[in-house]
Amino acid sequence: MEPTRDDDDALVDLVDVLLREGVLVQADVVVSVAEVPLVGISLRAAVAGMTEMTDRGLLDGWDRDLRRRARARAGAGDRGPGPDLDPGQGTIGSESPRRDGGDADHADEGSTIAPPSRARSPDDREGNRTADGGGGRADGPDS
Amino acid sequence: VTARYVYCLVRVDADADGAGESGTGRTDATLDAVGLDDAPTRLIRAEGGVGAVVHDCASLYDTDDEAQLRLWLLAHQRVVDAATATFGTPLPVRFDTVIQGDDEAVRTWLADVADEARPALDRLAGTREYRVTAHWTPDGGGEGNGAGDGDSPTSQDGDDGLGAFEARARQRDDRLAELAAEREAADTGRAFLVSKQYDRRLRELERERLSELAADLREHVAPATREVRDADAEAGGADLAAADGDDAGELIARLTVLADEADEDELGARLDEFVEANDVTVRFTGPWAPYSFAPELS
Repeated sequence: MEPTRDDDDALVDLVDVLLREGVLVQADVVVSVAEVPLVGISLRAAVAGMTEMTDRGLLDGWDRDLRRRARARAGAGDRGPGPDLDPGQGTIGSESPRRDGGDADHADEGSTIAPPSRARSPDDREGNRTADGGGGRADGPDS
Repeated sequence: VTARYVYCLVRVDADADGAGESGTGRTDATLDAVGLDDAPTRLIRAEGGVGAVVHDCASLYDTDDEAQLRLWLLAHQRVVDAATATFGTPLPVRFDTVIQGDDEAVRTWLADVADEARPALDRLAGTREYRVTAHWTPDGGGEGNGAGDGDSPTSQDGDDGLGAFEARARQRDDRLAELAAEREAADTGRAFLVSKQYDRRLRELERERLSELAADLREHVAPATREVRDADAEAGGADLAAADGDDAGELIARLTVLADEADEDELGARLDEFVEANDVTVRFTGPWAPYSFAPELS
């Protein structure tokens, strides 16, 4: 196969490398805002919406689905949020608290495109990001 | 504010170093590609055999306009591509890196970092960065294997309706087969508990398979690459990995690969082999400048 640079997948990687990688210049002469390039966070969120990544990234596959079914069957009281889940493992959506006010528009767009990411409770969302480890522990003992 | 937006650092001929000394306002070389907002780009040479591709600007770049952002990103990439074509593999600088001051400030900075940048440029010469994302699609889509079972634990008749992987797993794994049989025989209440155990065991087996595939993928690409990194191992990697949609299957690995440009065909061929031998899909993007393999310059 040949590598591509033309489709949405490639754009995702482009954003990834441009915003997260590359020579990071740590010098007094570099203009920056509180060490975090201002554009970085809002840009990533915006591009995420642009390529519908938010929409596509909503479901992490069978494991998430499985666990939601299991939870529904077990009843809401059966299990709480896994205390060991790491809220830092953010999805694009969970990044919103760290954004400044200027990004409110993008946050709203994200929720329009993908309401479930907003409607879901935090523990559920985090659980999805750490589905493997969190799921096993949160299920509790088998017998 | 006088400032310079920096796209990348490049190796320049050491003989030309003297030409730019204290030449305030001197334009060293113009590049074909226009930069952000169609700004003309050019090369600033400095002593030490390292130059910077820049454009003149007044501040950082920020916007809420998605179309604008997209244009900036693509423009940045376009300039890095042009620099690659002209000067060879560059050290790509992170988007929105702005040096305060005029050309002389950039030269001073370049001279300071030349001892770090030069060996990095030499090391990366001829290389490109690629991204390889592999998904496991055991049943053609990776969706619902196991989940369908849980819905109707008593209606299963043999292996009918099972995904290919699950059916095979039942044959190979005694524990899973045992749980399947136990679930068949159990009453409704107990069947639910057994079903959970069954699903967990199945997930274990699937994770094992994913690990095997990840190792296999790395083995496949290794001979055609200089360095392979797990893109998810880096902080923040999960953000964009979320784009791995549910229809793509289960993520095996997202690899960031440094390879000689000359090895690109072989890398592609090796990925083809991996795809043909397994129930997987592979996304292969690039070539990029070696963003992920560039050093930090202080």
